Amino acid sequence: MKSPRLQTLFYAKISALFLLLGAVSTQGLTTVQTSTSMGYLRDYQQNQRFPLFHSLSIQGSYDNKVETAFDLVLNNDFSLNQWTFFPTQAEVDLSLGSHVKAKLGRQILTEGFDMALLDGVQLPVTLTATAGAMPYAGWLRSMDLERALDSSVPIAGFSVWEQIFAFHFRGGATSRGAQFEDHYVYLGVLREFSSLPWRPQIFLKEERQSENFENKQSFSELTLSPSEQFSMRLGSSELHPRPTQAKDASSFVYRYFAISPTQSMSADFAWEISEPFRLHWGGQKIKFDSNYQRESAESQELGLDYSWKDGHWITPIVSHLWTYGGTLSDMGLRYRWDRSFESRLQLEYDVAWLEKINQIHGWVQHLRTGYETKIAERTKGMMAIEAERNQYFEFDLRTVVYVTNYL
Amino acid sequence: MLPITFRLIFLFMVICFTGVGGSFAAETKSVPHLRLPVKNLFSHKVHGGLVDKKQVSCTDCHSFAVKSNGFDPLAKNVESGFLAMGSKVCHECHLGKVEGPRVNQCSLCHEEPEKLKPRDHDLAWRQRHGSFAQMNPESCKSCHQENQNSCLQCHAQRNTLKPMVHRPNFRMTHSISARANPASCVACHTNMSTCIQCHKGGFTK
Repeated sequence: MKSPRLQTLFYAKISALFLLLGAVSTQGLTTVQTSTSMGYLRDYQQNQRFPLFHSLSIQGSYDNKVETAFDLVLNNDFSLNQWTFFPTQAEVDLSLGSHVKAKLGRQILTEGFDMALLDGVQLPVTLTATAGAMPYAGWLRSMDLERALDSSVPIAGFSVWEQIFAFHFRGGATSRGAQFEDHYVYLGVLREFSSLPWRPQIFLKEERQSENFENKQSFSELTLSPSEQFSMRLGSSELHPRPTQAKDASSFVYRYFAISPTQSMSADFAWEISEPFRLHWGGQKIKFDSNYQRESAESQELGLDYSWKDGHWITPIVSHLWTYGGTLSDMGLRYRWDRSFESRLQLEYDVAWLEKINQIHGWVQHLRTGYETKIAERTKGMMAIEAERNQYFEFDLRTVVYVTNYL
Repeated sequence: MLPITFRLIFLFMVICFTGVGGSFAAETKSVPHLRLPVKNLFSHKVHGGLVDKKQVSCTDCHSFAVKSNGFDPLAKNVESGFLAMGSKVCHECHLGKVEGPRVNQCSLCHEEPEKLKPRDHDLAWRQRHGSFAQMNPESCKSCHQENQNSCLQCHAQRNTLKPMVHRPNFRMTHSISARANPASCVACHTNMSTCIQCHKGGFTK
């Protein structure tokens, strides 16, 4: 559907349908959330732009366990100056019995190594208290909802899960591609040993092509908790995009930077030093092949959470990223005040020094602040301001207004 | 012959079958106190219209079970304590299905709602939750209902003051991040148009 006018009409009808479901339903609960963002931007060519962004979210819960969810975003893309709709969710859940549910429409799919939007159907089936299955089929779209190209990939698959002796297994198989020519199998295992010292928790997940067990993707993680105040994690992964029929469209972003799987090792810990103090650190080492050589990257982040009476929180953070594309040294400060059960103030300031491979270097700054509160019996609102300053976007100031109505 | 990874997994399972049991679900801390006594927390006047709309009867919430200290059928009157409803009754509607204009829905009734989170949510949960949410989404649904507080509310958010995915200044720093971990980009961005929207003249910025 390429015509903007047709798109506008189509999504307006869908929005009205979801709202109507809530309005006429005598047994339903509907919430509507809208947000509007307006900004001023002066780019590196000194062109002034006024980006406008609006989103609409409608959630409904009705009789017979029917649930609906609709999220629509409207944006005048400040780069292309085009009004575009992004429906990120349009889902109807129907209960087909006590153990089966049908989820129809645009929804999120998180199975195996997929995290994408599915235009189709999922059928979660609860077989027992510890086992179930879920067949699914449809067209898979990336989360950013490509605008110029429709690179949706047909997909059909199933997952099964079971808990045996405190092991959680989740595995399945998928076929994807225009002719469903690519077949994959995946398996994940999760186990926590809560009665052992340091309560180790192990998570393993792997996917391979089913014909020859090649094109491996894997993820593994070990979490140790010596006490309730301290937790650490060690992880490793090997990830890369799958070869699909639409090779150019679906792997362009990756192939621009890497020609081999991305391998990473990571470690992090979180430590509650005392009641108001919490320290967290994370580090990662990454390797992959670019078009030129074997590349590596390192990142580290250190943060401290401090809270004091009357709902105040403050979190200073420092981080450093080193890659073949440049280095980034970042300092940030986040503050939050839960003024009451109904209102909250947030403030976040971030400043970073960057040095890029193309000799561009300089300071970048970002400020975000917002206040959220109940403004009427069934309405809450949020007013927020966001500002950026750097060498290209000399000044970008946006105001954001959220209004949530509970019908 | 099975790849070595699968063999290691199988060996690990054999070893662990002889091990001690464990529980996946993290324990929750003790429930924090209610902000008010139950009889003050719930208002029939506020809920009246909704209760009628959903055709909820008195016995759906209240247990009128009579308790007698003796065998005499002419026992004492039912005490008000037996008319009170348990927390499950409130949660049936409020937990994830009904939202009100509050920052935190649990704060509707509970003091210190932060303490209601499972223990494993305390430390670095934002960085770690993905694996658990994917392996056992059912355990998430006990608090995070399907269409509210779902994955999309953070991972598909656009232009929000509380971005859950990208750091501040990302518009300027993403070229460095992309060269650090390309696989992290393609988790969501897989298409050429993602870059071309801004980099029409090439990738020199």
